[in-house]
Amino acid sequence: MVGKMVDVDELLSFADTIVKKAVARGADEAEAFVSSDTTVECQIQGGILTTREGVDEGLGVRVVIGKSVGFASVSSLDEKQADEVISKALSLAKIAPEDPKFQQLPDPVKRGTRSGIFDETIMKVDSASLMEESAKIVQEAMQTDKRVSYVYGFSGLDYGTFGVVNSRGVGSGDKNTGIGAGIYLKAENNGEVKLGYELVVSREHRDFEGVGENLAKNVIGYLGSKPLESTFEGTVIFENKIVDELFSEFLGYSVSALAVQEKRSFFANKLGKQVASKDLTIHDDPQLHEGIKTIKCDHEGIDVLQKPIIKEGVLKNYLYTSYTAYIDNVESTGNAIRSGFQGLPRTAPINLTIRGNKNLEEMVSEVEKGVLIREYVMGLGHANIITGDFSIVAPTAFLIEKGEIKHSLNTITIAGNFFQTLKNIQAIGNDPILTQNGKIPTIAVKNLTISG
Amino acid sequence: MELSELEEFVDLALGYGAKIGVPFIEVRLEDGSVGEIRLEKGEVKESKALRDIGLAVRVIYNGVSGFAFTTRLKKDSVEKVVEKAFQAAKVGDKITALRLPFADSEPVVDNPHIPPIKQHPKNVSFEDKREMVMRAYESAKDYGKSVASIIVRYGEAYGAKIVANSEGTRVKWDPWTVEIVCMVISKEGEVLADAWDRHGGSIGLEIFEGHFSPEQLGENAAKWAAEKLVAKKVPAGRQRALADNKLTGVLAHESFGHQTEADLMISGAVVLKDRMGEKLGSENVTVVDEGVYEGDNADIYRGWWCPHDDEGVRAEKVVMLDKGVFSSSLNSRGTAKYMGSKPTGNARALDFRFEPIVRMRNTYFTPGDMSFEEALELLRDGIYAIDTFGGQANFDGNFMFKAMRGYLVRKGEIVEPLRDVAITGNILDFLKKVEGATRDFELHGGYFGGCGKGGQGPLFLADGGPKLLLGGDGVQFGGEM
Repeated sequence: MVGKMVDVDELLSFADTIVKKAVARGADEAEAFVSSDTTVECQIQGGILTTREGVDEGLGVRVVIGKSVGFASVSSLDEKQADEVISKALSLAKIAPEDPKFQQLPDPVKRGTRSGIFDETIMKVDSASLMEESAKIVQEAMQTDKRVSYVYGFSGLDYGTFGVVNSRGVGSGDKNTGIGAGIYLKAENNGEVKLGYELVVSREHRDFEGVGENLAKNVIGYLGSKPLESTFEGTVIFENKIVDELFSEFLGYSVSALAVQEKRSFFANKLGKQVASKDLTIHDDPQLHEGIKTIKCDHEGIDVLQKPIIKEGVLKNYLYTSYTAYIDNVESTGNAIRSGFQGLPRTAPINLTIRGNKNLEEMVSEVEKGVLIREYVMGLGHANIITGDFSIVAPTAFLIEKGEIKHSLNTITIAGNFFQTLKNIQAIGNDPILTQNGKIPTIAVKNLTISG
Repeated sequence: MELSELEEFVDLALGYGAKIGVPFIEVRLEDGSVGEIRLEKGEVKESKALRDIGLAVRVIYNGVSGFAFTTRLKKDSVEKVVEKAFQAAKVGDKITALRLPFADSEPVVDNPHIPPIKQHPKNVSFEDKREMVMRAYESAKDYGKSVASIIVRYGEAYGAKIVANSEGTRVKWDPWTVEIVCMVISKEGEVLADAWDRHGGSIGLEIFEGHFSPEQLGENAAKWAAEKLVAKKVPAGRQRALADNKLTGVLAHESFGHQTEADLMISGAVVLKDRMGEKLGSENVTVVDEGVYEGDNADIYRGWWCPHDDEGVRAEKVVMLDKGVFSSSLNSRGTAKYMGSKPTGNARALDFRFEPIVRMRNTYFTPGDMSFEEALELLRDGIYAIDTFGGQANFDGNFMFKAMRGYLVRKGEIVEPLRDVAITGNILDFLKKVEGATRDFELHGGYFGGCGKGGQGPLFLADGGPKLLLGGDGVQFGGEM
């Protein structure tokens, strides 16, 4: 199971047969998406060790009859199962009402793109070495300080291929490798509890030495916190991993052409307008060399496109799949991403990148009164994604006064609006971290309501 | 392929395990079907049908587990899966610091029939389901105000599952769930307001008539969104509150339920790790987790029908909090032995791609004896918080939930609507503040949403309860200055 892989050409030829069959059986247009993914994972949670590995393969078929679309999938690359899936997709398309906005499956778009890093050595890593890796991370953290009271360490790898073929001549696919490790830990002292996490991801094989120790040291540093006992308007410095969550959540949604066309995005009618501070430039860079999600083509087989989303504060581009692109009469930006063979394409950024020029010390020195928040916040996932209103809880924060960090704080809350936040950016850090969402730095934002 | 044809792979895996000397092997075969319809602005945007078939193997070796799965149902692939799981358990045996050998258990052989329902989703045509979705949409359009968007979703999942092990356990059952959700977004100027109504669970489609008709769900979502357009933001600070049935359900599951999961107690992740037997809350709080809800209105509020867990164990009714006293934890076979208690049927896996871990099923606060009017009267001045758009709860007991909507209550009367009702607090503090509960009871589950523990989400389950009156010095509501 480990160490072998179905190649892209095999998948493409299988997908091609499916498409031809679907057309022969009455589809006006057809598309087959086929994937094969191998996962190996190991986690140690407070001493309990579990591993998991397996192969996940399957096929998703989209067929069009007139302006009606049907989709069906099965977790198998078996021909008999595939025939059943074609039948099911066809019968759904026959009874589905027309979607008047649907125009066609995509025609091929070639942009001379390339694949991301593919590291074959990852395919040779087995569950035994991941267990050792996870054990090492946990041990490092536990040994750092006796106040570390709970550790959850994990590591995992995946590799896989996908291929997508449609009846309009699209036939493209790609492959990927990835390895990662993470840790979540708790430090306790006299009833005070602080938490932290770290997640390190890479497309190339690497070790994770120091990950456990660094995090343990950071979290120990949050102990001895004091209550804020006030409410004020000030600057919040969001650590890069929090920015990663905040931006991927709000931006990913708002720049989707579908959300814009359906008037449920704050960015509707704002193309070419100033939506953020002049200092902010955000790209979607699907060709980022080390990018975790870097790909040659999207999951509709369309070559990806590097583009600014916001340039010097001005909204430059929406993200398109073929469906929304044909509605606006533009070319797809290659942002159709599926959750696997079971999913239809959805609009998603591939690698969000933001550049900044300040180190943390400089950013802190520019704050008259505010807080630095680290690790994670609660409540982001449930902020109002349309209006941008959020009210988040930050359990790990430091008070900043007159350009200096004073002390660690008890849990505080921060209320504001994401889109106002974009305009109120005070500084951007030069410390981007590589994540599943791209490469994201620390950001300082003024005029937020801080209370605790 | 029918499940009976696929069952040969279960025997194959068990036989191969015995052949290579695996001391304990558990095999799970699943054949699940999923259907979804999504409608936006009156157009069906998506209709899809998925079939998910696969096999999972778990080996327990000296109290250490090894797990592997595959979608390749072929002899050589299935044998390889058994080898991989055994191999992983043997390596784990050399590394692990903690062992969780299984509690002894008699083999379970069972094939429970699903409870009586009139219309199983597999027997209802796609056209009829599409019709229900359209009806919700039309109704939302009629009752909405300044409507910017209407999204209606129907989802169903059903299938067959076999769990068998080398001790002779063999359990087969056919889980299922359905749900309709209608979401309306209204917009006036720069003010956007959203609201939803939904109903679902292991129920028949005949339940979507009358009180839960698509028309009613659409009308409710539209009216509530319109109401929120003019609603004021909730005043920040501590307030007395009445939490409605859906909101209390989420608190039962997210804030309290996870604290009682034995794996998290053993690993030391949760604050309740060594507080069994302690009085944590007021007399008015009892929290239950059970596999099959058979109480009042079970045809409407069945939640998630879960007669066995994924280790084949029969689902027990567990009272975790008994009149305020922490009385029981939720267990798998592995955690039960360690905790010195019995397996409760709480070992569940998202699907064949994952191994069973301790999870909840139907989790709820038990009802009290107040009417809604009496509860408002006792609340006097405070906030009536309703439903939730979700939230987050941490292992340290801290939580934050965003109620979907709410009302300001003055002198026991509902005065005006509120929006952005975010509640924060700590569950241990919360449990002490419960001054009473209403007698109306609801259990909510369904196709959309679910629990995400251990990267295994969304897992089907349900939660609920009565309305809870929260007194003392009140609970913390968020809001801007």
